[in-house]
Amino acid sequence: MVTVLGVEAGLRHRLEALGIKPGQQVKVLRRGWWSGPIHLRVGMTELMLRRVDAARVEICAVDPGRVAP
Amino acid sequence: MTHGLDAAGLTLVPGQATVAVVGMPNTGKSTLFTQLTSAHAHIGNWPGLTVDLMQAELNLEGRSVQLVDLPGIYDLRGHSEDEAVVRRFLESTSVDLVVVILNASQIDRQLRLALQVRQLGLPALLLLNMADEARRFGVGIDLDQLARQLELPVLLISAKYRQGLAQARQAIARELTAAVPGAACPVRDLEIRLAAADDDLAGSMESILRAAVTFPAQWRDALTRRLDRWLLHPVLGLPIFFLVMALMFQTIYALGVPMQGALGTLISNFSQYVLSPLLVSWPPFLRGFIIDGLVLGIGTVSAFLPVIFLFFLAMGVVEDSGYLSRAAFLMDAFMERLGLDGRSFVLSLMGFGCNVPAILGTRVMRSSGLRLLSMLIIPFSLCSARLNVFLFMASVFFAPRQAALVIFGLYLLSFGAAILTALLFKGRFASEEALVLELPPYRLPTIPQVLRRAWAEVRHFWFWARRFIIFGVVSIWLLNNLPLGVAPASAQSLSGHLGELLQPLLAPIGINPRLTVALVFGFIAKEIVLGGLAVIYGQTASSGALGHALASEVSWVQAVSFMLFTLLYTPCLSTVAVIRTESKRLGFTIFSVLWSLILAWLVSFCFYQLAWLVGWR
Repeated sequence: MVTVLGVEAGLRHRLEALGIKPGQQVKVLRRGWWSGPIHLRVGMTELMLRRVDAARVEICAVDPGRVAP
Repeated sequence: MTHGLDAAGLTLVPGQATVAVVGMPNTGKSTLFTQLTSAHAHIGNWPGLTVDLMQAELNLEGRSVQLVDLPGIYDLRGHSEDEAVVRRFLESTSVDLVVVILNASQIDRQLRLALQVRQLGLPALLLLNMADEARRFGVGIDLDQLARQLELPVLLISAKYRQGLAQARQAIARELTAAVPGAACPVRDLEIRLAAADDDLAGSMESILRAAVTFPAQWRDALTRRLDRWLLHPVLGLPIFFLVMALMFQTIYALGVPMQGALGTLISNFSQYVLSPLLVSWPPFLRGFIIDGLVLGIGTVSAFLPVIFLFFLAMGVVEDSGYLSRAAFLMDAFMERLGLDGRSFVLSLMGFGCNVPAILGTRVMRSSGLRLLSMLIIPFSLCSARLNVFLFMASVFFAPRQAALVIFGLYLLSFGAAILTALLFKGRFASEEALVLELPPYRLPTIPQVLRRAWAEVRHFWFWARRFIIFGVVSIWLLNNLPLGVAPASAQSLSGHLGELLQPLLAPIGINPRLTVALVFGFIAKEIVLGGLAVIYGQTASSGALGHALASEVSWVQAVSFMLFTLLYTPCLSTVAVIRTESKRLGFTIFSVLWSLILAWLVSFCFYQLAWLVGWR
């Protein structure tokens, strides 16, 4: 689950419009080769996000039993 | 009608209702626009590709309406250039109705845009597109409930499969009729109003969704999941991608080259058996001008239209299927190390069709360093116009099997030049831009959609090419035949002088005076090179006569050197012009042209001199 978006305003707007906002659950589907981007699923949308940018999005683990798919 | 980017510059007819189409990227907004207006809008599966404002007149139940397609945006408060364009448009134009188009299956996040439009108090209508996908993924939407909650009319449509379009037209007409005449006015204090309502946005979005939408208990797109397992595989993903690309190019040439041969023969027969007898009584200068100048030049180039059509057809399939976004994912790690990103790679790939739209596509980037570096590498993409020249030259100087290798080698060099350029200059054009891209589910492209798109691209190519070719071919013919009375293209003609003048520079790379003239005019457009050669040698390309004439005078080493130079130096004046307008910097434009000339000369020089040393002649 996303807790904090530690990014500048422009990127925060973009991330929120794509569904990445505090309180939202995200699922990491895969990581690209050679430290490539991360493939994420947020709600009904799939995204790619670079690792440097993803590192600034703070998340906490969610109990798997409570995860809404 | 396509108009420029400046919203204030749109031509709006007074008294005519204005309807603006607003939506997020990847929602099928352009498809809807095309379906409603039957205009040939370019459909991009690439966030924000439709950057020029498209507008078209639409007849709705006897009422004439201006429909304006605004760029795809994520957020009315966003910071991108497209988002600023939409804001500027809404603040400067009296819009009678805003048609908000959302992807129905992603309503969970896209509803936000509809709510923002509502906050501005604009009269609006909500179209939920991709009804087929929502069904496929198990997203259930209670339309009546949603319309009540939003206080907006809501319709479910599928623009791709032409479902619900008639109802959408009726709804637009109904809303326009119901509106108070003259009530439309530009939005005032747009940013303040949006900011004030921002805090309530998340809450109201959640409550509306809870009341009107049901989401699947489990993610249902098994197809995309299964395909991605292979196509985005950490080890196999890239090899599969390059294999797909290689197969695609192989198919294009296997189908396109025979078609090109047939068309070429047809045109030269027409010129020989129909046109020549018709013009027999004309003065020789004029007759030569028409037959050996215009018809020869235009005929040679138009024979390549089938290959170009097939190329854009294949690109359309790759793009509409969603695979192009995956290419961005696969290549991003590599491109990041070149100071670029996955989008630059995709744009370079599109540059293999034509560099001009690829350079326009860099508008999706916000960081100016990243944009400029992308603009610097895109011109090295081997575009369809250059391909004409290479296909012809390779077939003249090499056996079919070798010719394929030569073409393949030129593609590799095209990538190599781009990579080298990025590595050399990434320090000067640094960028910190974040990269967030949507990976849409895999979709089956529809045949009419890709056909219409490829047709539009060929028409566009022909439109550009025709103007340059006529100008170029006519100039070359005149240079060859002036002053009056000289033997065509001899050393005494103007073109002979021009060729001799540049010999000190071009002789070391094996370019003779006649090839020089073709290269000089190739600066205007590569479409001219082949037609120009045909005019210079006075032979048609298709009958094989030009090949013989060329091969009798030029060695294969010189031919390869000519191809290397043609690949690397400035693609065409349109590319230079578009780099100038997009970068807004004259210095950068000059730098880009000079760098490509220097690189072209160095590569050709190394090749030619080495070949000479090794003893290849």
